[in-house]
Amino acid sequence: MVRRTRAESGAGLDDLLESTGLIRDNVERVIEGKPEVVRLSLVVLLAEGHLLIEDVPGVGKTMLAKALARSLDCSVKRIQFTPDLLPSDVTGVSVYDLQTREFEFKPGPVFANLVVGDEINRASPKTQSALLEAMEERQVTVDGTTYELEAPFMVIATQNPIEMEGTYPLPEAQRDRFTARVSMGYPSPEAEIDMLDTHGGPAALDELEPVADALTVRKLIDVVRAVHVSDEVKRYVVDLVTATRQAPELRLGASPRASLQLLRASRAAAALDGRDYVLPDDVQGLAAAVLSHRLLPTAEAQVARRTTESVVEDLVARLPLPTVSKRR
Amino acid sequence: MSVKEQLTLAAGFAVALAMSALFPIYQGSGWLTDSFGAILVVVVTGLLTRRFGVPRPLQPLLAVLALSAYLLVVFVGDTMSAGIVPTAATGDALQALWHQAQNNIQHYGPPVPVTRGLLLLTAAGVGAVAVVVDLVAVVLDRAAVAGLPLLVLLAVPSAVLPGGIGGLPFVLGAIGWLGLLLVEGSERVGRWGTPMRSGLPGTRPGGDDSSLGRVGRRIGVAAVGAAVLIPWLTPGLDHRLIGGSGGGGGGGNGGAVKTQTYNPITRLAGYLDNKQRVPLFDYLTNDPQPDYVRMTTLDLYADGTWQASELQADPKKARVRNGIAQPNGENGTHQDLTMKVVLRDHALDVRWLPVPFGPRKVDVDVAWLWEKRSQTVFSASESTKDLQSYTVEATRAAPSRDALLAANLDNVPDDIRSVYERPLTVDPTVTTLTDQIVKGKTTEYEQAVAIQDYFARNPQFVYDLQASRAAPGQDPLVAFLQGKHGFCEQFATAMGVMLRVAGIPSRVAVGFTAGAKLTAKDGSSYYEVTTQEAHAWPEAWFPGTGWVRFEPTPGASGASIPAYTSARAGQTPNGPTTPDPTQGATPVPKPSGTLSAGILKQLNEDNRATPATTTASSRTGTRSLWLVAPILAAVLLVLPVALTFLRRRFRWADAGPLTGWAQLTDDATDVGWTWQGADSPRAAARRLAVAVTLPEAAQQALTRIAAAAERARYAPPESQLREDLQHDAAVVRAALQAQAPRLVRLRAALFAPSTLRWAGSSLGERLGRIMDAVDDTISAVTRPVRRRAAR
Repeated sequence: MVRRTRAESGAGLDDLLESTGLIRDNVERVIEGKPEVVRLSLVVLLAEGHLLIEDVPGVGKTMLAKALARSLDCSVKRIQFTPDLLPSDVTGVSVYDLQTREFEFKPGPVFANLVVGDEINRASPKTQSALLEAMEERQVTVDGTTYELEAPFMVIATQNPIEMEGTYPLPEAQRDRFTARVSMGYPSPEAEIDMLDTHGGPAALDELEPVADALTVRKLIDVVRAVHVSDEVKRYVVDLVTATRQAPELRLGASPRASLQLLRASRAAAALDGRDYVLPDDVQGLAAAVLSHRLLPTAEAQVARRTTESVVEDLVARLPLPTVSKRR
Repeated sequence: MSVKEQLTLAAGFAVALAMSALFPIYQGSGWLTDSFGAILVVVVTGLLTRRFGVPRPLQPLLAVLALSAYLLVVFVGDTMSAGIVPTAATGDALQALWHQAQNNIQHYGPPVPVTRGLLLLTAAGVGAVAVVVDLVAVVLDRAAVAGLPLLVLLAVPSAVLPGGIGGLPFVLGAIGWLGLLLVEGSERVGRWGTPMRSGLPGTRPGGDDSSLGRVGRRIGVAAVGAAVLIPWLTPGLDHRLIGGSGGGGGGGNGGAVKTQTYNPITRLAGYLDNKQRVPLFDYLTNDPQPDYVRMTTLDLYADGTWQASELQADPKKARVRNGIAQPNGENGTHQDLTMKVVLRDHALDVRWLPVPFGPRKVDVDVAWLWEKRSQTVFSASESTKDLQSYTVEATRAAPSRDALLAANLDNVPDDIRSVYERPLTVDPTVTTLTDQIVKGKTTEYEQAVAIQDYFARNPQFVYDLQASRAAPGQDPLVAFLQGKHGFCEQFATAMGVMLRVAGIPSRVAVGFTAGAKLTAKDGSSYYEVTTQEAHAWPEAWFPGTGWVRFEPTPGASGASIPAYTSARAGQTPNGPTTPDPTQGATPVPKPSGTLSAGILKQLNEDNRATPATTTASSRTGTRSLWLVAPILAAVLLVLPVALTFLRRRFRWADAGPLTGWAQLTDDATDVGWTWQGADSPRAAARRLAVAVTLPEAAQQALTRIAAAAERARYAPPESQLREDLQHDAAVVRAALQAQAPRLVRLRAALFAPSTLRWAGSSLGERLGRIMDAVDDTISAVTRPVRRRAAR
């Protein structure tokens, strides 16, 4: 639709399209028929965010997380969240070294470029909270010492819907740290048949080769950071987030952090479309994924079976686009 | 300063502003100081009582006491001992002032001269309003209700002034009241704490920026603006704000139009008091000997004065332009006549139309109605100053002396009896005198003539504009009968009363004598009526003849004793009047200034045509409406087309990347497409392309236009595309038009919805800006008060 010229998209944008295309193809080799989910996970990666994959068991949540991890040639750690998991199992512990007679820090699994937190809501909120500092500040403080995490740092967590047995709901503070929540959804019949073929044979996941490394991802993130955001779009993001705070169906609206992450994600989405500027369409396309898991519906809305997704979609459909500048 | 004290000040301020409505009632502004002083006394008392915590119920009492003391000191201070203690003389002085005020009210029409009596009345009235406003707004905490007593100050002048009070006093009064509401409102908000101020850069600096306050002020400004502008702009609606002379509405009585006007007698006295001859109207008639021109008649008598009861007519059936039904059972000779009246500009400002006796048809607009009982042509909404000229067709009865002598008053119809035989309360001396006069006269008619002759042919009675003065408490009628000095008002009053005492149905008519016959340059003759011809005379009712006039006033300008009242009348059956022998030669007045060419032309136009032909209605407003309406319609038709064309022209003359999009938005709106506010150009174009089947070229053009708009709005400035989209816009426009129904295309061509919407929104924006300016001013003015209230 938009005719792109070399001058305006820049070399970086082309590199980004090429690299992300490779990653996408790679992931889609194991996750069939879910291109929008794969795209969203790439958006979150490029937006320096964290991804929450929520769905019923068996639809490929862990598969997506692992496929993305395998496609990137960087340090990957996996944490299986269980009810007895302790915070130190996540962050690491200081161990007394008898030889040096000093406490030595043994980094936990959080020290990696990609952290796959499987079934995150099976751990107690106490343990879940061990991730808070790491996710937001990209650092871990243990026994008074702060350890920086290497960029890129991304947490991909999977969880079962909270109605499922043996789960703890994520605290609001934790949910707010995830850039986007995505549902896998059941595959289409065709995709499911393909899946049976693929997974009937040798383990497809094991065959995945890394197509990008940490350095590449850092460069791509820099490209995304350079994507232009007009005042109108900024205003629109703020309007949208403000609207969630004023919506009568919601008792908790989105935080300023949500505005920031929505804008970052929009930048990444624009870059993935090969555009060096953000459109309101990018914001609108991401609003449900980025905002809805942070919101709390009122009791009335819950009784009326309104999901926070549908509330956000309503807001997006109703909220007019602002016109800030008078340029003709 | 406490909130109560602020409210006290605001209440006084509001009364002072509303008081401005009284200006047109008085000559000059001499009344202002005393009335303002009354307000000041009430305000200061209020402030002091509140400062010293006087219990609430005592506050209004103290205000009344202070006001009374002020009035006593200012008006009758010299009668009080030591300047502060009232004496018996004080009461007498007050009573004298009161009588003076009453007398003035009866005798003067506005603008009235400032007399001590009226001064006292005004100051007391204004002070009383101030006390009530203070009581309601401050003591009872109901600032909104305080608008009602404030309204009294506006209602009095609008009831007295025939032209209403106009917009300015109303606006001033409204401002005062809104100020009162504002102070009260800030107090109410203040009870809940100070509202948080937004720190966003978009908010306006200073002032109470709570959107509620802003909305409130806007509603206030809009309401006052609408109240002033809408009546003014609405054609046919009386442009006065408040029901003028108490009439206007009349909806309460089965659709009848009613009017209760100031006493015509007072207007008459005002005209005659004024020594100058002010020409009021000229008329041309085919009547060789024109008789009096009548305006209205008065049927009630009380306290020495005749008054008119409420005029009432059905606005649909009683229009004088549709003809007036002639009373049945009136025999005798009648004479048809036509009279063309040309009014001098704004000279005559009354609600009764001067017409000859027995009007059959008057070509004025629908506002003028006929009241059968009083035989008055009146209007509740218009004044004669709204008219330029009119033509009256009339049939004048020439009463025959024989018929009148034969008339028997034993069987008076109920409608006459109930109104015109109403018993009067009169001083016994009047009854005795009447009995003496009518003694020995066998018929009622002879009795009536005897009463007339008692005044008219009695050298003891002197025509004098300085009528015999009544002592305090004395009946003015008795004073006149004793003093024997007066003018038509006193003579007509006296004879009217005595006729009733004698059992003859009577009333007093108000109008003009025939006026001076003058010759125009072209030799034609016309009559000029001036203020000096203003006149009142009694009328009596006789079966078979109806109402006949009498003339008891000796020596009034142009007055003539009716021929049928003198014994020699039989010889002149054609002329109803004979020159009055007691009156002597009435000097023929000279024309008062040269007749303007326009008036002469108007008079002569009618002269050349047959007198019976009715000329076109000549109300200025109606005429201009007929002229203006087609022009207005044409403008309304052409304006949208021209605006659409010009907008397109100017838009492309200064084209930018968004011009194509703006044009596309308008074009799609014109064919009935509704844009979603949440759609970006890309999404909107997609939606449009799905809904409307466009040819390939148009699709591509649409895409290009949307892309350019998208870049212009969202891409960095350095990566803008400079494309000429005028052709693309034309292609899309043609494609959109092609698939639209014909009616929609026609609407797009004549009344393009996009243009109307644009005009509406830019008008709204302008109005909004004006309102903001007004709002900021109000905000700035009231800020210190509100800040203090917030503390």
